[in-house]
Amino acid sequence: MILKLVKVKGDSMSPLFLHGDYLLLTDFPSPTFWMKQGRIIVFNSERYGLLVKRVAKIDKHKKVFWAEGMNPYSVTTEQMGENSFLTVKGTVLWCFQQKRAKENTLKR
Amino acid sequence: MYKLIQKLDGMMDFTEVSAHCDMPCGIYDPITAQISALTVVRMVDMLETHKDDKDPKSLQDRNSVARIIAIKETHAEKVKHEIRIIWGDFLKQPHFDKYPELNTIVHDIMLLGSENKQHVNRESAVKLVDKVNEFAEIFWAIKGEKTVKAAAPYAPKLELVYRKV
Repeated sequence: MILKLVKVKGDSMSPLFLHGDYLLLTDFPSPTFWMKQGRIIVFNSERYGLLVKRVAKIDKHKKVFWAEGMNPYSVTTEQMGENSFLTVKGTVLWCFQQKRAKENTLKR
Repeated sequence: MYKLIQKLDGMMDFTEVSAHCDMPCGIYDPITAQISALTVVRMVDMLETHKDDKDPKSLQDRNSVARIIAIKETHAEKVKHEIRIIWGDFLKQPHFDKYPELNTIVHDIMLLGSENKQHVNRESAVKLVDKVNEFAEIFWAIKGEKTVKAAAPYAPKLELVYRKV
């Protein structure tokens, strides 16, 4: 895919991403190439389907990671559990935001 | 730029990624549906006892039968409602991929729920309990929880699938 646009559904990544925002993803040169703690990724969770979350922790030896939401209403890291690198679909490069208050703009 | 992408989305239908929230509750448990299914069996059993009413035309007997039927109706519908919530809000494509029988089980529960509203048939009511148990077993497997089967500690004392604690 190299670059792909996806649409955000739900508000667990607010205030960074809101429901209805669009995200530009990349899987080049591999879906996990840019992955590190704190990066926002899209992955396919066995329990919850296609998710956008922040990387909370990585175990490079076991090739697994744990994800987290960005507000208290998100499903928890424990609920999402340990996820294989193979589930990662890409890293978020950019967010195309709908109109919102200035303090909610994407900060990196 | 956002509006342009939104227009493109209208034409190309971009994939949705879920920023999954547990709002408003995130509490999913098939036990409510299981207890309701059991209640349907219990109501059928209670209706059977009214077959031998001495004076079926008495106001008291009619009142009792009407109440039992109303409860049977409510709980058969509740089974359908609770299962629909789990099916619609909790279950996702990977679950259907892993358990391809899930949709058929849910559909069978919907049919049995309606059948139990329409009729007084113990066999059909027990089938409803069995189907909801089947659903519960898969639900807990998805959640990574072990289950046990045990007879409910109240009439009609049918076997239910419980999460092992």
